[in-house]
Amino acid sequence: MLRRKLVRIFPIFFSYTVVVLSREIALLFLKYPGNLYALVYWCGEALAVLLGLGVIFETLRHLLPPYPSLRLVLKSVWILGVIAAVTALLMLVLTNGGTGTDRVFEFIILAERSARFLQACLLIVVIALMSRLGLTWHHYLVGIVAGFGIYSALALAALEFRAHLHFVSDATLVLLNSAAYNLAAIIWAFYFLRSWRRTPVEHLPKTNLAEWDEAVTDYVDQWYRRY
Amino acid sequence: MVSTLLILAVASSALALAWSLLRSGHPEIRNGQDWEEKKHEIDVQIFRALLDRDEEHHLRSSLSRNQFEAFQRRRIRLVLRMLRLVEENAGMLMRLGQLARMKGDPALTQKADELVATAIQFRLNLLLARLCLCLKWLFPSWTVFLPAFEVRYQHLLDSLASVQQRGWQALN
Repeated sequence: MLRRKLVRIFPIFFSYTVVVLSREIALLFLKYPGNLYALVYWCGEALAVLLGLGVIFETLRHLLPPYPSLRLVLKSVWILGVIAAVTALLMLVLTNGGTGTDRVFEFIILAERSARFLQACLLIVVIALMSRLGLTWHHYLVGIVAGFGIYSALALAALEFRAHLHFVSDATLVLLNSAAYNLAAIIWAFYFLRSWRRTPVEHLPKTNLAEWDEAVTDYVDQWYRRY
Repeated sequence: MVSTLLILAVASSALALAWSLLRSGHPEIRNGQDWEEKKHEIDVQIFRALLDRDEEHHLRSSLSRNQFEAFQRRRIRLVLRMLRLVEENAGMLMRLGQLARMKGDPALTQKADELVATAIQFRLNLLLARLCLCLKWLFPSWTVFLPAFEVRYQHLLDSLASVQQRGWQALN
């Protein structure tokens, strides 16, 4: 990212990768189990989840040009985000997860599950937008979103199996989480290392796209007027 | 149990969508010549004629119910095929717009931004238009009403923007 000067374009995503990497390096030198290890791990995890949510909005900002007519899309994403957040909060409050030996740990896992749920919901909306609106030529964004999508989905499933269903042990959860992150990191590396060099176009062709847009809008308006 | 099902559904949807995003392919557009070769020439007037209400009333009155429904479904299938091709055109134009922005020419960048915004707007409208057309295909004789909240909301936003603009002009 530094070599391609993408840090200024994706500052939150860059911060996210730096935080995750720094935390892992710091943990290598700390004694496990220990209070400091737990503190660094969980603070890093909370920060990573927050930055992960920030990355989604950073992606959206780059995805849609700043035109008033497209504000509706952004507003819809915000509304869906709020609905997902409320659902996540309800799941956190209503789930009876304090059955394990360490109640605080169980609560943290459930809180992380809620945050991952919110992240996955937002990613579903962003990916659906990218696919439906044909915004897949933003190669770096495709890489970031797809990587995050796969990581969030796998992490969310793993957290559910651990926190609520108790199907997997803590060690398996850590392994699954690491495997999911590594898979995402491979996707990001592929998209950021690959050369997407393109030749700039000198002029744009004349098109009747605005006319088509008007025709489609008129058709939709026919239904609206009759309502 | 409900939350488990919801979470697993969300996780599998996110996984499937992310995977499909990685595998999504589209025709490569590198310059204007590629566009000229790959674009689909479709007349918008044919689209308008196929969806014309007066034409529909005329067909409804001159054909039997079964004939009308069969004919209307054929027209809608044709419209949907046309929209798919125009959607491909829009996708290619968006990529051309992106390539034009790389030139760094402010005037060209503005034109490219406008083109991309129109293409996105078109694709957004397509979502709603397709929904209407699918309903129409299912019930060709039925005059279906759709709560077009998006359109109303858009009109509201447009009016708000114009009021704000007038306010600024009055202040200046």
